[in-house]
Amino acid sequence: MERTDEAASESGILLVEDDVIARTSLSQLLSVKFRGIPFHCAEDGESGLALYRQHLPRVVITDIGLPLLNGIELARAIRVDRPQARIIVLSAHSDSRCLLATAELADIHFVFKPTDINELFAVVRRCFEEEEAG
Amino acid sequence: MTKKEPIATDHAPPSARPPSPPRPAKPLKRARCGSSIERLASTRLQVSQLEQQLQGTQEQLRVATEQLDTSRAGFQLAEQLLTINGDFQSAGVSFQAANEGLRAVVDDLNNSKEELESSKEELQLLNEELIAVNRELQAKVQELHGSQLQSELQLAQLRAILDSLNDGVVISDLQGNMFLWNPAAVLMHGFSDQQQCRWRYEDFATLFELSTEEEGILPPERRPLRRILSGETLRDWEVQLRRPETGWQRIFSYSGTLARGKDGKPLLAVTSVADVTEHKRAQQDLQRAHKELERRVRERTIELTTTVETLLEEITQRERAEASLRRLNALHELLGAVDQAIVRAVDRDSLFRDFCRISVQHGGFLLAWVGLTEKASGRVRVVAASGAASYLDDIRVTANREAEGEGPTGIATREGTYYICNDFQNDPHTRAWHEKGKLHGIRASAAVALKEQGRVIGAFTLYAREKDFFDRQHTALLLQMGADISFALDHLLQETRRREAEQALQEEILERLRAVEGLRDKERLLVLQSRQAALGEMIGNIAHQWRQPLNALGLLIQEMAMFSAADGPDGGYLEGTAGRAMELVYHMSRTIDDFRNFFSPDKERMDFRVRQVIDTVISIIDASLKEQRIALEISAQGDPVVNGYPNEFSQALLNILLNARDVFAERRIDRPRIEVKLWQENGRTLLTIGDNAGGIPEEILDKIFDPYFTTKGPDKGTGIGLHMSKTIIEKSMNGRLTASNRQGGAQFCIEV
Repeated sequence: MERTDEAASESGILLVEDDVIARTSLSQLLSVKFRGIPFHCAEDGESGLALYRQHLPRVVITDIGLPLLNGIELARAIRVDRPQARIIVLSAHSDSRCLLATAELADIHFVFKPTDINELFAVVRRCFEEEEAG
Repeated sequence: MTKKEPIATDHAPPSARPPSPPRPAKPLKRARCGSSIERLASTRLQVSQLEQQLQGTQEQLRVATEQLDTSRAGFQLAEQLLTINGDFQSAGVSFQAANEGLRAVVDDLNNSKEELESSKEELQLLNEELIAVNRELQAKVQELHGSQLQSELQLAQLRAILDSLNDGVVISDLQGNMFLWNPAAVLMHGFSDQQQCRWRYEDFATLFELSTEEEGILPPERRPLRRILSGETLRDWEVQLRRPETGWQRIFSYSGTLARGKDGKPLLAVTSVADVTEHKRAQQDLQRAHKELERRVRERTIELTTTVETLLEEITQRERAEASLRRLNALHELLGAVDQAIVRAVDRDSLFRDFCRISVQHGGFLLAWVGLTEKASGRVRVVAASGAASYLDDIRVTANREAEGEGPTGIATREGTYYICNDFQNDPHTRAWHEKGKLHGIRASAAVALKEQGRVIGAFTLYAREKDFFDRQHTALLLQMGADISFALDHLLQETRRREAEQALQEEILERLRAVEGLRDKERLLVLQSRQAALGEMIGNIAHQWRQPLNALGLLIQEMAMFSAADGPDGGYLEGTAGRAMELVYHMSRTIDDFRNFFSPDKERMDFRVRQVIDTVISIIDASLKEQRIALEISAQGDPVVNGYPNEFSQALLNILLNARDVFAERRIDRPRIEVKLWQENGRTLLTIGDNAGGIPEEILDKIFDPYFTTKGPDKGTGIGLHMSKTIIEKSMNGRLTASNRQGGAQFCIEV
């Protein structure tokens, strides 16, 4: 399990986004910025959870409105598996209901839409630093 | 009775003949002889003339006899006969005279004989001649005697005729000896035979009393025979005869004349008598009857006169009645006109004015006025007048007990009745106005009280130019008029009240209208609110719709910036990224168009495809539904086209969908699902929107379409959405929107 954890932590970043343009664009930007770090991406919540369980990436970036399993549910499921998992939620300001829903979950990072890519990079880097520190 | 002397006659008998005219002297012997011859000749001539006369007489007799045969005209015939008789007698006399003459001639001749002795020879021839003549003459005389005998025979015939006559004929001589009575005359006088009748006039006069209606008992000289004897000719002279000692009495009609000889000398008196007693009696009866008739005619005439007078009287009365009727008619007309005015009247003053005007115009009154009593002073104030209104100038009339309150108007107003004054100039009640009235020619007046709500308020007064103008019927009509006007006053009062009530009602209605208007304003506000809500909703939806593409667009731009800086410009990469970016921009633009179309109100009805409307609505809330992970399932059969307002329809549909979405959020339904079904049935288009949100509580099922009804908190719902939907479907599009619960959720059904 240790190995698995190590291996998983090595495997880097998971992106779950249903919007194809946003997913494509984000995956290109993130893979270029964090070259060398394994990068996974899914288009719905369930496949996202499966990828997480398979690769155990250090950082999970997810949209809220997702088919099959939404961002919050995904986050909740990941926390059940690994409470220390670093999760970044891409959210619109008006998604207050979602925000309330995520309030129960600690250490969730929010990046508001429309996404400022540098802010997202910064949050991802901080997550890696917290991982290394923690 | 004096005895009448025989009337002297010119025809003196031969003895009484005056002596022959003195003969010429002897030396004139020849001449004398010649004269004798002449005389003889004349005598001859005379004889022949006599013969002729006799012949004529015979002829006359024959004619008379014939006439007698054919005619029974007693008197004329008798007279004729008598005349003939007289003629005969006078002829006899003439013959005698001729005889005498001849005898004188013979005497002369004898006398001449001695004188002619000397000339005997000379005269012998002559003498012989004369003798021959004489002989001849004697023969003639003989002949004459024969003819006299014949005359007597004829007389007998005459008598027979007389005897057979019905009328009495009495012949008397000039002394009044009534020597001949025919049987009728005898019978008439009540005698038994001719002998009894041989009365002299005097005796007759003592036996019979004669009288006429005109003269009474006739004096002797007026008796018929005496009158005839005195030369009068009587004709149908009616005389009453009476025998005082027997009481016998008859009425005879006398006719008569003197029978005259050839020379015109009276010979006889012929009286014819007709018993006209019966005739007279009949005549008298007739006369009596006539008189009776006359009397009756007179009586009848008088009666008729009376009748005519009565009739004339009646005519006069009738004329009077007609005049009254005319006035009555005028009044009726007036009443009719007043009634019309009443119908037209809008207020009291105009009614009074009209009444006065009409009374003068139609009723022919001199003056008409209406007075109202002032409560405090009792004074009757003129409120309307027409006609000789100057009479009313400064006039003082009151309803009080004073001189000015004793007139018709005063009495009528005080007592609430009426007063008729048919002799204005002499009525003590109108004393106060006699002078003034005279000046205006007022002869009669009538006042009738006017009432309002049963209370006397005044009176109307009418003035006429004629005395005794108002009779019983007029009065009745005037009272009717008063009642009508009073009724009209009540009616006007009621009318006023009604109008006030109406006005109040109108105000109330106005108030209500205002309230309704307010309500409508509120509704409008609601609609506005709902629109704003919808707008808010739309903006939310736009936000949803745009968030994703905006995010993607932002990322694309940042990506481009990053890669262009890191790798240098790559035509293919940039082109692809710009194309993706433009796709996003177009999508966003389309979204905007959808919303704009959705919010632009429909100008007019049109045919539209329900499918298309559903698609538009879905495109608008799609993002919103997706965000809540509400599954939307659409099934459509066919592509129905309906007529109406597509944007309103889509709004109605949108409201239903939003309502479902909100209920899902509120009830936190797991796996929310909305099912939209579209199909056609019996020419109607049906659209159902069902959800699985648990349905509508039964207790509010009948309220969900009410305006302002909402189950959501004040911050969320306006209570307008479903109400709007129902209004749109049912009022704008004549469809039906119903709600029901089924299969664990609510189902709305739109039927158009």
